[in-house]
Amino acid sequence: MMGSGGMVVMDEDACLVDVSRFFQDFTQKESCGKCTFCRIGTRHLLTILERLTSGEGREGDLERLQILSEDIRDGSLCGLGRTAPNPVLTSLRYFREDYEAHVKEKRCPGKMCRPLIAYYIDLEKCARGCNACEGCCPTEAVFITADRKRGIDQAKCVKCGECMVVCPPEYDAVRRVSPPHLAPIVERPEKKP
Amino acid sequence: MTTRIITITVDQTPIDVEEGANLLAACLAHGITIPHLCYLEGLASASASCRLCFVQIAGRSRPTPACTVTVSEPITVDTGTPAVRRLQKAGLQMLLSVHRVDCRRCPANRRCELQRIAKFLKVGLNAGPLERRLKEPEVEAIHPRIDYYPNRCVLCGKCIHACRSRHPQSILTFAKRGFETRIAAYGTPEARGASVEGCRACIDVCPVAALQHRPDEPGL
Repeated sequence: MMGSGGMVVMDEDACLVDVSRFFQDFTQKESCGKCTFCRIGTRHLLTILERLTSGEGREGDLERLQILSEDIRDGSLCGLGRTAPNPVLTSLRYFREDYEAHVKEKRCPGKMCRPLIAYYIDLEKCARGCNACEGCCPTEAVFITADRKRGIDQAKCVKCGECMVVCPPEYDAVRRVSPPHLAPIVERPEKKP
Repeated sequence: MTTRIITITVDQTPIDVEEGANLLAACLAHGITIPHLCYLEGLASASASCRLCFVQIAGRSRPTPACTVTVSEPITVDTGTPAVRRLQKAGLQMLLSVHRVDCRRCPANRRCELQRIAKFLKVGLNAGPLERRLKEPEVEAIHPRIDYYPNRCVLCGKCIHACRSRHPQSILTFAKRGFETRIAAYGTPEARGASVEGCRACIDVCPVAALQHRPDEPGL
């Protein structure tokens, strides 16, 4: 994929748009800046991919990615620039629907792009008294509901996914959804004076 | 031993070229326009960094920069295929996407290479669909008497070559890397000033007026 002869195996939890963005970020750091196409072109590629993964994709972005990638591939001076757009070109070819979901539905099928996902706690499954998620949350977004279960304050949540990791498998109550508005709203109870 | 003359075909016109000549230089000498920014005559190997002088050589799968081709056999060249034009326009758009297009207030207005190339390619002086990404600050004092305008610079490297070919200790160089690449000067301000006293080769060679003589210090 990156022209190194290596192979990367990913499961369905990987977001190919985010993977492309990661590789473009890498090329950005490796570009020496000598030739126009690699120096400027890959920066524009990265800008568009960052837009997509942050949920601000626009109509026409996919076509622009395709054209820009082909130009960089054909126009660059050395092997770095010539292979830099390969992750974009191949993922656009084989996973176009993932890109389209990011642009049109603001949805990340792999549920990896943080601005496009939300975590919530399934109240049917949450166990009263277990405090794993609340204890590990770095932003105090997890609160106790009126019936002593747990809820997530979406305004405070930074989507780190720690609560999902620590939720004991016998409960498995933390859910991840995309787009974020699919998460049911659980009100934080008023603090008693 | 006399140099062998090779007849190459450029845009259906046969032209006679000395063996070992540079294809871009030969075309330009015969009045054939090929957009270019970074080519300098007399360099052992062309830097080929501006990526504008693409031509299609018969038998090759994709366009090649003409400045990298040394004529050694009778080749057939096309300077205006759709693929060539596509790459040239894309390259120009990329350069313009990091360029402050403010021609009226630019000292290079009317003698600017970017204007000339855009006119030749029949495109406007804009970045098309690309977002403009300009650098800060607009002007940098890289030398006691030279100002550098990063948002005009196309990083062709001509100024660096001009400085290297004239001074035993040249002062100009590329600095940083990737998207942040820019022109910078070596040494302390005093050393820089003294070693190139009276020379303005870099300013004169710049195709886009990215290096300017600082107005408040006359007498360079």
